[in-house]
Amino acid sequence: MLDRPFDRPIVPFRQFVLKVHSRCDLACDHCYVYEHADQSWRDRPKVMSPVTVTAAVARISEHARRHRLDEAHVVLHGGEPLLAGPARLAAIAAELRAGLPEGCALDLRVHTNGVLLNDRFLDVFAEHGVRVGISLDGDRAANDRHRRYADGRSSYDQVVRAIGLLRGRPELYGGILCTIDVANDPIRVYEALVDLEPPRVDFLLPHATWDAPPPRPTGTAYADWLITIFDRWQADGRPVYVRLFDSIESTSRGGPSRTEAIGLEPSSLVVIETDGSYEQVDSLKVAYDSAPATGQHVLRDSLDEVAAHPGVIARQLGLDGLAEQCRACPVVDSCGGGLYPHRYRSGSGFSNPSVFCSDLFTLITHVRDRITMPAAHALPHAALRTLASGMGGAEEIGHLAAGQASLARALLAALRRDAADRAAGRAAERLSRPAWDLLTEIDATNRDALDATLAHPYVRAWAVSCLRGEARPGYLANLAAAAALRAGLDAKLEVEVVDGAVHLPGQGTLTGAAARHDGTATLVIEDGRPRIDDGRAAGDAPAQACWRPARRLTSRGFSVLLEDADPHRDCHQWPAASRLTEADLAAWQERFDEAWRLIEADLPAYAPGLRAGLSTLTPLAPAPPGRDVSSTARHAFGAVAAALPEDPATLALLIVHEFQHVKLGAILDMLDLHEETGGRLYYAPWREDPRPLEGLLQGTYAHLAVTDFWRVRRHAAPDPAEREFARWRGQTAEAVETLAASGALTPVGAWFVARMRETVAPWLEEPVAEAADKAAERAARAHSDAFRR
Amino acid sequence: MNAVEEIPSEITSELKDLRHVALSEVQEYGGADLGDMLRRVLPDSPDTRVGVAAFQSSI
Ligand code: SF4
Repeated sequence: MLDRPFDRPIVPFRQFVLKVHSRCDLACDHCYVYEHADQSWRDRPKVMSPVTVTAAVARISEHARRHRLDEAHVVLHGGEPLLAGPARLAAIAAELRAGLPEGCALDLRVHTNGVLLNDRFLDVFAEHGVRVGISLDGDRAANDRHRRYADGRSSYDQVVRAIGLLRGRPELYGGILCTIDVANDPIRVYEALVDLEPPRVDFLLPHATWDAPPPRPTGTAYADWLITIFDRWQADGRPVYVRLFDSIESTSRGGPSRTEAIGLEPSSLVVIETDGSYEQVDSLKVAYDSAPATGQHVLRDSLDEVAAHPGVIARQLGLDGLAEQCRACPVVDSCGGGLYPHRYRSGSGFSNPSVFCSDLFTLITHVRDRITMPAAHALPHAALRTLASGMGGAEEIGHLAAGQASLARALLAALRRDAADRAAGRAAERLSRPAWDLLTEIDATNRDALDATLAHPYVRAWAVSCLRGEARPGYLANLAAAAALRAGLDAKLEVEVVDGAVHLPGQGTLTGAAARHDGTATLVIEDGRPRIDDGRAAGDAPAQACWRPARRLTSRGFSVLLEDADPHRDCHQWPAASRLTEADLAAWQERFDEAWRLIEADLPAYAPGLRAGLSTLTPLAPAPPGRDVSSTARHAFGAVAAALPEDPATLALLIVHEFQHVKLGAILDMLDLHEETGGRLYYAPWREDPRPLEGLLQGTYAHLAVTDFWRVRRHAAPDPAEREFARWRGQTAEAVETLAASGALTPVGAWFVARMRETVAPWLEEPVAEAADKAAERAARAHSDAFRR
Repeated sequence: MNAVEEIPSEITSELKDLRHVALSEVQEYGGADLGDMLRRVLPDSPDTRVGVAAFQSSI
């Protein structure tokens, strides 16, 4: 046993296994509960009593509150948990749901052998949000090898029947857990599992230790078995999520493992037995009698006290807790020494590699050899220097847009994964699957069309909202339809209808579309024409939805999307305007044309960057009288939003100003320019309120261009340009020094700010009218004095 | 400021270049690449939660 390292902070528990019933209706000969060294189940009550449940929930709740957990994972386990009966399980689930503190989500699951599962149980699980994981070892022959009743009868038919029930209620279907026996045919096991369409498959190595090694016909029998499945799974296009393979890939790229079976993550799991005693990780039962015991109990001890138990801490030491051989192993960042109990050997305890070491090494090496590691984006020094100076032409914007293109793909993938992983509901799955398939088809056949669709600014805004649970994933179909239209493909999809309109980002909007009760309609694209299919034969349908192609503003060969229809455009600081009338559009076109001519004439250095990166202008609702409002959104690269100002020079200024935010947002997506500042605020010379560091950086970067704008406008409009230039150069220079002295910039951030200083410093030397200079100085002093008071 | 002249010729981002990775494969990456990228743009995303060894014991 380790001494408790007092200087280590407690790792809070996040996973809680409740042993709600300690007996089982099967007699599987590979079960770690009954068939291995630890026999403590014999002395335990069969069912967890209501008093114990209440105490356990109170302990979990206390722990969640103390450590501000945003999510707690609870597994109802056994023995066989369904033996507790639906009423008891309902009571436990309800107590858990009611007991956790606000802000702590509950991921509640039950792991069962499935033989008792029926609609009554499933109704309870639906009511209380419990996902069901089923143990099944593969095809009939595989499952019958171990999973039998005490009298030798097969359990296979009951388990497959149970999975059939779950397939009818996919929101409850958690996945299948398959214990490996190398005597089984891996391909038959794989095919049997895939046929059952689980959202997730867990392949589990059988429990064994160096004292009780697994049956092993060859030196790498378990690796060979899993590799056979991996290769087939790859060739099949990965039809199911396999947590072990995903974890090897993830850890190979430096990411987290998603299973306790491999990886260096600290254990955060605690078991509460039917009698209320706390135990360490359950599978330790295979090591020696009473191996998982802590001697602690829910009625006496808090979970913090359990977290300080030396046996718990020993499983949280990562690399430091491993045997020397593991620490020197080239795959240790993926393997992590394997499942903790598998390392046990009398005498040396857990300071050994896994008893499956040769298998883990072979499997991980095989998987690593077959995955591609994407290269990282990089910003050339010269490009970053140009951007840091406040400028940036087509080449520099190209680097930023490339990063955004990768981000868009990552967000889509995360979204698809999110939908699949959470199985958030049947509707989301049904909507997103055909859309996803169409998107991947367009990606394979006409990637330019997909990339152009994904580059629409509000696609990212929607994807981010969706990942936050604030927007509907069904809009993926609208995205796919837009890409199909752009690619010249025919398609038929269930798309989202928002406020009676079907919007296809970047392409246009079908207005007057009737939605079904679930908010969708069937969209058909034929010969480049989108229409709503309401089931009527073509020809006799009355004119219904009307197609309004997206409109553009143009000037001197430059064109931007005028975005007044996208349902996700309202992500700016100010409300978006509704669809423009033809007269409003004409006003925008006239003002844009004049503004663009002004930019090209007076600020030609900004024009190439704008041509390359400004894709969209979004009208905002009219500004309060006497004000001009404009905005950018961090998740909408390429879009500038503004209320139409009175004169073209103001529009030019708003565009140049806001596009600085677009550039810096994309730079910050790629690089860390500053550290976390822990909520510290800084003086901003142009604001009444202090700003966080990133806000100050954004403002200062934008004001480089604002200062430049007034600097060059002095010839055309000395009033107010002279005054504005004097004011902005002083404020921008002061803010640059605040940033430089913040101590919160990263090395590249400090370098970036030094380049900003090089831009503004020469402007301080330029002569300006004395009156303007004095006025700027007085105003700056007054602002600073007022702020300090 | 010494850091000014010490910056390397190219600054590498945490963003992985996925432009030439098939969309169907990006989905499968799942691991650090996606997690890191999402963390950059979406600090409160589920992928940013603290990694812990996830329970998967069978029955
Ligand atoms: S492969 Fe073997 S030596 Fe390497 S980390 Fe895993 S158990 Fe340890």
